[in-house]
Amino acid sequence: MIEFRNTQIGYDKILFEIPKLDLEQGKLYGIFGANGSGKSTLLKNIIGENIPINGELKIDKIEIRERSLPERAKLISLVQSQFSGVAFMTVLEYLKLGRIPHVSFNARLNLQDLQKVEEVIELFNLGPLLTKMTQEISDGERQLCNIAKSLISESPYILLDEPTSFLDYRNKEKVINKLLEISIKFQKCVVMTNHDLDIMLEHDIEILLIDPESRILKIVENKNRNKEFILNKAFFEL
Amino acid sequence: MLDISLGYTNYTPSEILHFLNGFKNNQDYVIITELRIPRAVIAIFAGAGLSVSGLLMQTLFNNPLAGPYVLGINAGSSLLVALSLLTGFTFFSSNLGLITASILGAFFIGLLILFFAMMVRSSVSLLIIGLMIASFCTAVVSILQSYANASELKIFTLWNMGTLQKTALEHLPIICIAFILISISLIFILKPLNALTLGENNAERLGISLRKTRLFIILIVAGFTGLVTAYCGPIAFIGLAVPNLVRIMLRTQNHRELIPMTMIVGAVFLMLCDILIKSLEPVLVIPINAVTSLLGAPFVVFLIYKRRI
Repeated sequence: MIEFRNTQIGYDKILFEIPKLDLEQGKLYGIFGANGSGKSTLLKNIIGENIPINGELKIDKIEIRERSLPERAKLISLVQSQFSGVAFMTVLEYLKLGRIPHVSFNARLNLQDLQKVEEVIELFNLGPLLTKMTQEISDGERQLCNIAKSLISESPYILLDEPTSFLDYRNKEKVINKLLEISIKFQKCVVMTNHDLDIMLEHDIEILLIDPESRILKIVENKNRNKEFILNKAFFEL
Repeated sequence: MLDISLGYTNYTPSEILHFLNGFKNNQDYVIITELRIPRAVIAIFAGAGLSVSGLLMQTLFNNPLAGPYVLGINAGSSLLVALSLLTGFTFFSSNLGLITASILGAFFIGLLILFFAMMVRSSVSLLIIGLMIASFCTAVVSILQSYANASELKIFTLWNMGTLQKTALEHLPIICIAFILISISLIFILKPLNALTLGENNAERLGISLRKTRLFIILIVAGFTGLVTAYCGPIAFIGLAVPNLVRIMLRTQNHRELIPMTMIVGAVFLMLCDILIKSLEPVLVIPINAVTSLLGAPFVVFLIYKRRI
């Protein structure tokens, strides 16, 4: 569980505050807010690359900053908004890099590692892509590979920075459904930033709304779960 | 084997074996042990060492155009060698002094780069700092050259052109031990290297400590480059061209495969260059640097053209 208590997020000045929020396993969360409202900053705070200005941010009861880099890598994986592939790297190699937090210094994957890789490949139907180069496949395929890689790393927390922003409608649906599937099936806590309000409202996604007026981030309650309310809140100044 | 056989006098492999088993004061025995074997062995070490250094640099900087040259590590060797040869310190003018100077130079620049590596976060900044250090060293060397007398200048210029012929048989054990020790340390950075192919930020998110990794890589590169440059002078282009060639050949970014293959291809490439030199020797004498550059430069242009970097 990721716990926020009076957490103030920002760099020099406070962007927003999270009075009380618990992000649980088995759920998919979508952070919604205007550009520059601090969505990506929040993700960076969770993985420990930035520190909250004030307040608590605990993952499994421990402040992320108190964990070592290898510990963090096993706990959380981050999928970036755009990954354009690496020259001369095949999809299979890319997926195997998901095991890096678990392998020893010589980068050798043992039977257990390979089994995990195999299992996820099957789940995502990535078989036909394995020998292709990461630069050659489509954006949609690459995004699926990214998610597969974070699943291969077996981190209980998966963060995604705008995972659907470069995708067409069908691929968006596919990615969201995959995220829902893994959050439930593997009891992962999946947190993403997303601009696509419609798709979040249509699916069983908890929406975390950054309200620029009160500078507070809260879960959108069921009674307020409609487009008009959320848009009015998120873009109040317009 | 071919590298040992060819030369001013050509030997067949069986002749070589025969001479090695035969009388020790035989002239052919002397040619083979004192000249040919050291030359072939240093070609293997230099080719493998420089190539793998280039691979490490390219992975660290996430840039296929990086190499020991770019970081100024070679230039550091050149600077100290120039200082010792051209200013006429008696200790440094000996053969051993030259080697010490070269290794010291490489390590000094390595440490300097390391210092900057801890200060700046971005590898591109570090790359630019490396380039600046290299041109600074080169500038100092050219000033020293203009004040040197003719004989000192000739020795330095010959060394600076690169050669495989300066290595003597009695140096081989030291080179061999140093080379193997540095090579073994490569095993310990396989995981960071593989993670670095995804970029520094992602490597860190995979649990890799950037500072430790950079330090380790730069020490290894300084070790290899200093050692090779001491005996052979600055040899160009191998470090840049060979890793790229190997990546195209293997189509992988897994360093468990890249490192051994890069070392093999680097060794073979430098030996081929040496064979080319020796077969042209009766007609004209070309320094090894000219050959590697002649072959390497068009290759790099081709590479940039093809990938449109």
